[in-house]
Amino acid sequence: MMRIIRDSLLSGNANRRSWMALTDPSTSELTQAAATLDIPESFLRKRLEGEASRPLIKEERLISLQFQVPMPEAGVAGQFTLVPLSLYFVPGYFVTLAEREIPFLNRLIDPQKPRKRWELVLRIIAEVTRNYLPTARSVTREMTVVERDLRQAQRHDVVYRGLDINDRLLALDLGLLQLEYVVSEIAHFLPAGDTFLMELHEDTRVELSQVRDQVDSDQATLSELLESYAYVVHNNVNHLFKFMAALIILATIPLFIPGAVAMNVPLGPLPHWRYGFAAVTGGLVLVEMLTAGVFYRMGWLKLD
Amino acid sequence: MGCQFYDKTAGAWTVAEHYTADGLFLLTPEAVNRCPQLEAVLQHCSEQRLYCQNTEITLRLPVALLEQDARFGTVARMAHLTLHHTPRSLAILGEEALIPTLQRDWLGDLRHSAMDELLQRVLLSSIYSHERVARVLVERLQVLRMALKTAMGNVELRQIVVLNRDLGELVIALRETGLILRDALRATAGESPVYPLLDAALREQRRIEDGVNLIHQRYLAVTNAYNGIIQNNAHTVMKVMTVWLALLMMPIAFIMPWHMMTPLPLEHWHYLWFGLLAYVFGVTWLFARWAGKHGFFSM
Repeated sequence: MMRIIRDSLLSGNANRRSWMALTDPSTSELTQAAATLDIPESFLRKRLEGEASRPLIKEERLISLQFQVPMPEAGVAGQFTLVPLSLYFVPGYFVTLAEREIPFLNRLIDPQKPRKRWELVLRIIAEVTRNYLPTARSVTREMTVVERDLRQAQRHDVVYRGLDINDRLLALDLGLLQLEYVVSEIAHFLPAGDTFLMELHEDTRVELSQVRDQVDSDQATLSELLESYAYVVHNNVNHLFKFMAALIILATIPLFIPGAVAMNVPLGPLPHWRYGFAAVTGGLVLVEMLTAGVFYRMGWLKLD
Repeated sequence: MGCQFYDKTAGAWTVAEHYTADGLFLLTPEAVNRCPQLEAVLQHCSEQRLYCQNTEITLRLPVALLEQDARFGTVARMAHLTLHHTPRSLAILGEEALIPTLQRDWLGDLRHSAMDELLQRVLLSSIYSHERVARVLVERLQVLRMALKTAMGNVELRQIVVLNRDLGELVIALRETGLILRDALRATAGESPVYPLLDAALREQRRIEDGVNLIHQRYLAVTNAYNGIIQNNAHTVMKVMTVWLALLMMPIAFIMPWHMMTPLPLEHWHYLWFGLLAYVFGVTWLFARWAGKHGFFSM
């Protein structure tokens, strides 16, 4: 989809510029946009194809920036997609290019209150940064569920869930790293005397750095914990081993107590004693109960 | 294939006898012996990785490639690319396997551009090659990780170790690229047209190094969890075997009192044998159900 909204922002010398919003554009829309902007179509297409390139490119007639916007998946907590958002400054236009609709752009780019171009870029970056924070939090919150399931887990599924969370945090961290790079590069373009923009830039940089620290810290904690998770799962399985070994010992006792009275040798008065069965079986039950009691007290017959 | 020259008028690569210091050239190491102008410069560069003389600059940069290994599957391999740049020419020296990639991908749509622009494209492409290889290695790592779910041996784990080491090699190669570019920047005059290109490449190298290093660190940090997964697979099999052992022990234990050479309860009952079998297997079945509910049999 291609939209052009006139007089949406101000250039460096306060001239009004139009906003061209390209959302998942078709091939013909890309061709039309490239012709309108008077730039090679490959500039737009390559960004959409996700080919490796510099996040900030300055050419003679064009400045291009690209970063990833985290978009939560509807109805699935902790799941998100990183949507590449490209911004272009070309004479007369400010262009946004993304595969999906970025909701906050309509709010930030308001023809009623046009902002200066670098202020707009910094506000977009600040908004993107703020989107990273709840996304990272919702991913980290999944750890609570994993830790709850860990108590009973006998298989490594919980470790896999931890690894998946680790991957998602890494994706967020890489997105933030790219954003951090863009913010540091933008500093070279800001007008030196504009204290408002300088302060806005510094605020954005600090906020970004804080979010990245948090994601880094969450991920470092998770990486360290994953090994412990594996050990907890081992321990749960070891509990079962211990329990079953105790059970096998208990099942072995009847092999030698009644077994002693089952030998094909003269057994004295036992074969004719009326209460022989009751006495030996009673002794067996007593020994079993004593052994089971000792095992229980030592924790060998407990499952958790 | 030796030495190739890009003929701008024909718009195609043609075989050249030797390097002529004018235009875009692709050379394999064997072809350098036929280019006396290049041989001395490349000799300097292979020893120091960077050689600058007046407006000429020669760099030897690492490039990341993928290759198939019979034991470990897809692995990374480091090759080197030597770039000799003058204001009028760019000679790219690389092993034969690199040449098609250079012609098709790296120089595909920039063959008519100025030498400076071509130099920048090749510098950036050599830097991006590490990121591309890192992405493939991570995808392979994730596949191997899933294969670990049922693995008992060390095959997958050994492959993961190799991939982690390859990711580390990529970081080292990127750092080497950074050092070369930094030295090249120091050796280049600020007003030289090459200076901004080297500066942009160095910034990009830092960014890519940060990213690949982050990926390497994060994947390396969770390697111990993989050991845990494999051990858990082995433990699970032992757990199920042990529960079967316990199950087999139970009928023996419960029937043992009726082996005794004493007067036995119900010994004159005609169906005692059937009754005892029903009793011991009934008790064993109850235990099996309880064990099943508690996950003793789950694999």
